Amino acid sequence: MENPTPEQVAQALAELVQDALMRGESVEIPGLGTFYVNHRGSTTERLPDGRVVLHPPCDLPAFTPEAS
Amino acid sequence: MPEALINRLAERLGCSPEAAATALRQFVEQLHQQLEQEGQANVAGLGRFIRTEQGLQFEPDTSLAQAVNHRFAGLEPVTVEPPATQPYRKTEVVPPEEEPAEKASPFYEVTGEQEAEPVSPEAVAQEPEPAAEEHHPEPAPEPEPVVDTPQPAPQPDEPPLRPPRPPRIRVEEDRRRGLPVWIPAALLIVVFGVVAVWLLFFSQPSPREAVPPAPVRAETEQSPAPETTVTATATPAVTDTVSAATEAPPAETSAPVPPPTDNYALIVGSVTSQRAAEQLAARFRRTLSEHGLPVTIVTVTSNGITRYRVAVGRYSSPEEALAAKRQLGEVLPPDAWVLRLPSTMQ
Repeated sequence: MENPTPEQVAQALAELVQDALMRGESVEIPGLGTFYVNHRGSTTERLPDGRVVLHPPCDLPAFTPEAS
Repeated sequence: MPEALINRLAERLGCSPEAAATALRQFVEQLHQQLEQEGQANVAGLGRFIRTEQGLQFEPDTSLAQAVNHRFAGLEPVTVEPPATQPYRKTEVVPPEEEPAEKASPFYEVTGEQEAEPVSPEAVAQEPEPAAEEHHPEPAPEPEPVVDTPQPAPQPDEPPLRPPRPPRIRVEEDRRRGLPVWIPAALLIVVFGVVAVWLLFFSQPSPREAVPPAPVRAETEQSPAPETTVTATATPAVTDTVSAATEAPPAETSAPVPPPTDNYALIVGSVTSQRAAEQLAARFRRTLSEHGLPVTIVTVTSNGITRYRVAVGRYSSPEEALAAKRQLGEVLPPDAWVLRLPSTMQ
């Protein structure tokens, strides 16, 4: 496969980024930007009626565009 | 251009790194073109790029977000009620369902009063009884085995019905155990205090009674020595006592004459003037007339001072004199003491 189609490239790129982010690594794509993992710790939110909501920690995919 | 990314991309695409690099460059250029034309571009499996004034925004695809969040997958936000609306009960802390047979046994004796509350054990116990009563009239020869069978049946049913109560009862037991520690301690302290007060007040008379003999004996030992010298040297003192004895006869005649061996007397007063001593003696003769005790005046001169002592009674020993003093406590003054009279005065 010498000349991959853009759809193939997009799929390969998505898989690659997902694998890297699942390992906790950041991926820099030249001309586009950097994908990285944004970790948020658990938080508590106090509602106005007195109840408290406990938010679990989470890892979010994040993106920073390349400075042009 | 990072080589690691190109190599991995080439590995996935199954082509040379150069072809992968050009393909990636073409893809990025296409993406930018799409963004400029439509303002946003969607990449399947990755997310959506949106062009805004602040720059390029990225919205991750749900599949990508879930894959990245695999460490915390399945965690949901939890809403907790405020503590005030959720009353704290100790019974909920200890799960009573665990090990019902072992936990129920220690509390059988305690829960004895509460047996009436759960209706189910009684219902269970009552159910077999009618069956037993029905069996009674019909078969005459075999009532005993039928009666015996329903009795053991309710017993195994009871333990599982009890367990929900133990935690609360355990708390009450702790309170009961805690109380008696304080009450006996307080009672002991009160009892000790009462005993101490009682000893303080009721033990005082006995020392007062026990103490006098010491000074009395000291005096009895002291007095004879000077008095023998006094009687030997000062003859006027003897004449005085003789005169006192001559004055005394009216009382002495009425009173029984004491035996000559008694040479201990109770001294009720000691004055320096003879007239005062006579008045004192007359007063005691009046008060002691019913007791029939001799009242005499004993003259003693020591250190150049003549003392007239009013002596009551004649006793053979100081103990006897003290016993008499105790008997005549209300008549004699409290400071009366025992004196051994010189033998010449007998």
